[in-house]
Amino acid sequence: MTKFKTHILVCGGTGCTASLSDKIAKNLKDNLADKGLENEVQVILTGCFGFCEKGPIVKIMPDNTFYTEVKPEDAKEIIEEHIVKGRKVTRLLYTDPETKEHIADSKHMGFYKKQLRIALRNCGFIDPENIEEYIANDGYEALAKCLTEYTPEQVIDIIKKSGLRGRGGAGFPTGIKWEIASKNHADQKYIVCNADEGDPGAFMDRSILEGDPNSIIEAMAIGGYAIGATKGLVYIRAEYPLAIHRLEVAIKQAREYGLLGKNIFGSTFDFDIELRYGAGAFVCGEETALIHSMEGKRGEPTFKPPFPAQSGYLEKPTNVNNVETFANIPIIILKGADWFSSIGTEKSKGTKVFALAGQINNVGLIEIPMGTTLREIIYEIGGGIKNGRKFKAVQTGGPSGGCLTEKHLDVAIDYDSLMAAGSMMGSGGMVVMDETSCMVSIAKFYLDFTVEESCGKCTPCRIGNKRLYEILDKITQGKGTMEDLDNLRNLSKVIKDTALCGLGQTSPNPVLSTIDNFWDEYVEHVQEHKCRAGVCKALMKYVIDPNVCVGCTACARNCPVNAIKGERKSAHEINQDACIKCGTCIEKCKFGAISIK
Amino acid sequence: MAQIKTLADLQALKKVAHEKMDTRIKGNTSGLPQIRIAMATVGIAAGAKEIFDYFLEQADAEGLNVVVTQTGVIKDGNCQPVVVELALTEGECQVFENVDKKKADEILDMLKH
Ligand SMILES: Cc1cc2nc3c(=O)[nH]c(=O)nc-3n(C[C@H](O)[C@H](O)[C@H](O)COP(=O)(O)O)c2cc1C
Repeated sequence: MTKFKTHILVCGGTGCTASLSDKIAKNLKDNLADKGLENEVQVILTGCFGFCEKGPIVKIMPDNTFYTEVKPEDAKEIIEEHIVKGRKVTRLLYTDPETKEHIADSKHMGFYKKQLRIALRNCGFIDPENIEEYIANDGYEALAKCLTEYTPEQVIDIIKKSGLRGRGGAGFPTGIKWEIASKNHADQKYIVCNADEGDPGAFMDRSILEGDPNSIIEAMAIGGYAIGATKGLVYIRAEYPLAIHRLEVAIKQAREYGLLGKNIFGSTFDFDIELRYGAGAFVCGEETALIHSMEGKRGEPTFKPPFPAQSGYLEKPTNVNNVETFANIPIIILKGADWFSSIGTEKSKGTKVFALAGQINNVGLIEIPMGTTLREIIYEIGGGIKNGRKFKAVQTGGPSGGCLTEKHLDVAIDYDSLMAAGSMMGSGGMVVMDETSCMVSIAKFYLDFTVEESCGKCTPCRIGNKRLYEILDKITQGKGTMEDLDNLRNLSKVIKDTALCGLGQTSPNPVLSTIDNFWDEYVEHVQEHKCRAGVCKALMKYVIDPNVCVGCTACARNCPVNAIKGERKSAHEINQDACIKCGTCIEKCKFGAISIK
Repeated sequence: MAQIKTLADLQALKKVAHEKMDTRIKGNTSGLPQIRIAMATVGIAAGAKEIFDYFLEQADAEGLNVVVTQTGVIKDGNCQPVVVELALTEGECQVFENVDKKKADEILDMLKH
């Protein structure tokens, strides 16, 4: 066998694929063939590298050269220069935003320096459609170890000792969950992987499934062995076609090798996995709703108890874990509970994957040890706020979470500190906002989402959230009263206390946290009819300064609703009743005569 | 496809798969020594490619944990290739000129202790 001297890794995640990374891979292969190098250089489509801001990413190994924003037509130059002549293609290298220097080696990029990749260990490194590459990186060794060396109780013990907590939102200790499920006896039990990932903007679970599907299969088998389940189900949203495809390929290959099926590793343990597709409802990520949806019933939650561990899928004991929770399992078995629990904080062990989004320089997928501060994430990994603007808030926990401010930047993040600060870990969405974000509008955005996604089964969530939304809308229209602010608070508390499931119990969090942290901004909207971020259109007024206006008529000619009147060569005026605040006039005025008041 | 029925089966498959990925895995490991061969036009004309292959084969045969990569011009205005750079640790590196197989063996020997 001739060994490939160089490996070219091309990101094949959903994001980079949308920017034609499969075409890039094909062009690289074609150009290699032209040069007769197809047996010396291997091109591999991998999962996500995380640095989505600058995708598509192409990485050359073993020298770790990291090319960003690559286009299909760059393939020729990469082969001719880098591969044939050994010269890096400087224009495609990542440029450090501060030093303006090109950084060739990804190990030296600020984005990666503070990261610790455990759940994402194989993403962007192996070919997810080739089980052998997973095996080359210790894949299925943890399962072998469990089946041949450990009893189910010992496996549960390791997970308990590791301190791993669920990554799907609530942070329940995984080992304890497994223990409860293992103690409920039944002729059939189920282990379920929750790959619903309904938080807006979140793509952690999708990236793991696209980049390292075998790690989830192996972990589910380990979990199945631990609790005594022979059947695994992955509940995955149908909008994730690439993740579904990679999972299907991985399951097929695992079956061919006998890593799924009967008598795995010569033991008496049988295990297999099936996929179940979700239609993309947020509430179906809630475990009881998820189970009902898998049973072909309406995706509505039911009261707990009974917990799924007692009576879940088809009324059998069922253990539900999140994708990222599973991704941590094999490596904990291999490296041990002590290794895992040495990472992180007192009560939150290991790492957490976040989807970093919003007004930040390095948008992407990151994995950091628990205990990293928001400041480190935003300024070191995230490269700071876009366009040199000022940081205002960071939203974590999605629709169930809250907005944190400047004063929280040095909080060492883990489940408990985020909760104490009025937000939550959630599944790992992190949206960074600058001064151009209006916090009332942000709260309204999340409530709009919850109203849309509420299943309607319980009254507090169905009607309460709608009322919250209406009050917020009134405030953004400049029609709110101070009494409305009190009502927001009170109603929020009632919904939290009385809603049936986690959706309603957490949906007022975006409202409460913005009221607590941005009280002045709410008051400004109510009392001064002012939106300091310039977002609430109803509170804005476009005015023409008659001393600066030369009467060129550009604004009047371009106004889509003919709201601007005036004689040529004399000052113009905006009819406020007709104005729709689209901003066209400001754009067209060459004299800076128009401003927002 | 042969079924995997024991840990030994898995490890046998792992060994083969690991070898195929060797280049990538070494590149991903921090702190390995590096051998960089200048492979610009002049270097290639002077036989840098053969030396590059030789380094790879020998490192493999001897089971040396080293990253072998190609690079551009190491020494400006050098018309007497083949030029090779050896970095035992990051930062510190030695440059060798006119490297042939014999000299390559000497460089590889330096990695053995
Ligand atoms: C409205 C709502 C949506 C949820 N969505 C998800 C989801 O998309 N993915 C997920 O893993 N857990 C989600 N959960 C949490 C699950 O109910 C459950 O706690 C989790 O899957 C358990 O896995 P873990 O212990 O590994 O975190 C959601 C909960 C609620 C209330």
